[in-house]
Amino acid sequence: MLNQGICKILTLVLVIGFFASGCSVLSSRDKQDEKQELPMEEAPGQVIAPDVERRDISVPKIDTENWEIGLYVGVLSVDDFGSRAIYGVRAAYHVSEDFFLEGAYARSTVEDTNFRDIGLPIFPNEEEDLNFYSFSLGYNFLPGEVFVGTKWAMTSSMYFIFGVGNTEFIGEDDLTYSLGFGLRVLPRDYLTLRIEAKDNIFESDLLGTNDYKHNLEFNIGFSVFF
Amino acid sequence: MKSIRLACLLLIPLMLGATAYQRVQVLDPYMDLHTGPGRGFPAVQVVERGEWVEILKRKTDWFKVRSEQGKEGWVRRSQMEKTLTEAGVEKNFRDVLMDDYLNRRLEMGFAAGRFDGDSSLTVRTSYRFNNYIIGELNLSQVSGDFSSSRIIDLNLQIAPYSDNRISPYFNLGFGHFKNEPRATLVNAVDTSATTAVVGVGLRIYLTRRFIVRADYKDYVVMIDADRNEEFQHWMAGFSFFF
Repeated sequence: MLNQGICKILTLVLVIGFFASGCSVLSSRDKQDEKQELPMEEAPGQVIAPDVERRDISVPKIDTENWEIGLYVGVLSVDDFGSRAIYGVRAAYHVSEDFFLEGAYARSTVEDTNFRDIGLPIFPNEEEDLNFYSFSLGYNFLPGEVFVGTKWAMTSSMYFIFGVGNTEFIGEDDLTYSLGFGLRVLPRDYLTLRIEAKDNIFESDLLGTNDYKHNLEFNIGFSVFF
Repeated sequence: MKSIRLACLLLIPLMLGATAYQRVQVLDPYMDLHTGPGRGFPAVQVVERGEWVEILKRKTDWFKVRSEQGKEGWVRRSQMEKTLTEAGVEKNFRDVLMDDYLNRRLEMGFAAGRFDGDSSLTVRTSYRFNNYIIGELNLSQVSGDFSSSRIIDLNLQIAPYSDNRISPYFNLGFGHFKNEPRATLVNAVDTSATTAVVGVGLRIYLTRRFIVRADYKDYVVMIDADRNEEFQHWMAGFSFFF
């Protein structure tokens, strides 16, 4: 009797379980069909469609001024070959408050007038072009201010400059070391006035013996930070 | 009347639009304003905690700011970091880091060296395509006792350990070699030839934007059909990256 009862209950459970599982399979299929039919935008249950415009927060960029580009003019005295005007361009990158790297290109002329006067011409022509370029490392020191009158103060700084470059005239290239110092004054944050004195040293054998030539250069210039 | 006032109000930001600056609020008890962008310049004014300043410009690690009262001066980066932005978060003026070095693309530099016993000067620009491959353009000038040469070469570098501070590389390239004898020499001829380049080198990341580099390159100059010349080029220099 008891066994029969348990059997009945078990069969009932099995039958119910079977139908229940069948139903769930069917219903899930129905749902899948429904999902496919409904367009995505009108998903059921979503009452308000969010229509939020994203705010574009644009923070103004900070203007960095680490590049300096400028022109200079000066006097270059080439050992044995006279002193002439020199014109140049330069560009510097300020790596830190202490150091800057600089590239410069300049043109000048040389003359052998003195040798011609005693009948010993050295150059094909009395006046020959001179090209100079260099790459330098600069170090700022003695920062301070320059005062003009009673109302105007300009920040200033001295600098040492050491460079390696090339001097070319009458088809000869000479590796040139430059050593110098200068004063940089800033009337405006973006504008620089520079006075510089340099010794450009190269080795030359133009006059017979190989010798180190010291070529003094003095220049003034201006440059712009950007 | 009201509309005119409104128009004026609308115009003001437009007029100021050209000079819109980032604003930050001072968190330190005082923010020192120096006269110039460097530690040697004296601090002559201060801005107190809670005040807002506008950032006008930056030079290396120094920022030029203007306070609400119109005080202007230069502030060091470490102090700028102790400020809040308008969004209320701490401003991060980060330094150039090792990560920037690893993500660098463009690199420029110069080097001095010896080319077959003569002194040389090189300018170079390189572009990093990915972690391992770098392309580089070299312009060298050699000033010798008897002649001077100009070399231009285009190289491909393989850097297997480019994520290290010290990164060696192999170099392969080609270029052009031009040699002009000194004006004082008699009966000398110019040489102009194609050259193949093979070499090894080392990049050492120093600090900030600086890289120290050492290179050894071997140039095979193909002067004519049955004559090749080989030159060794040692270089040391430094580069910086953007």
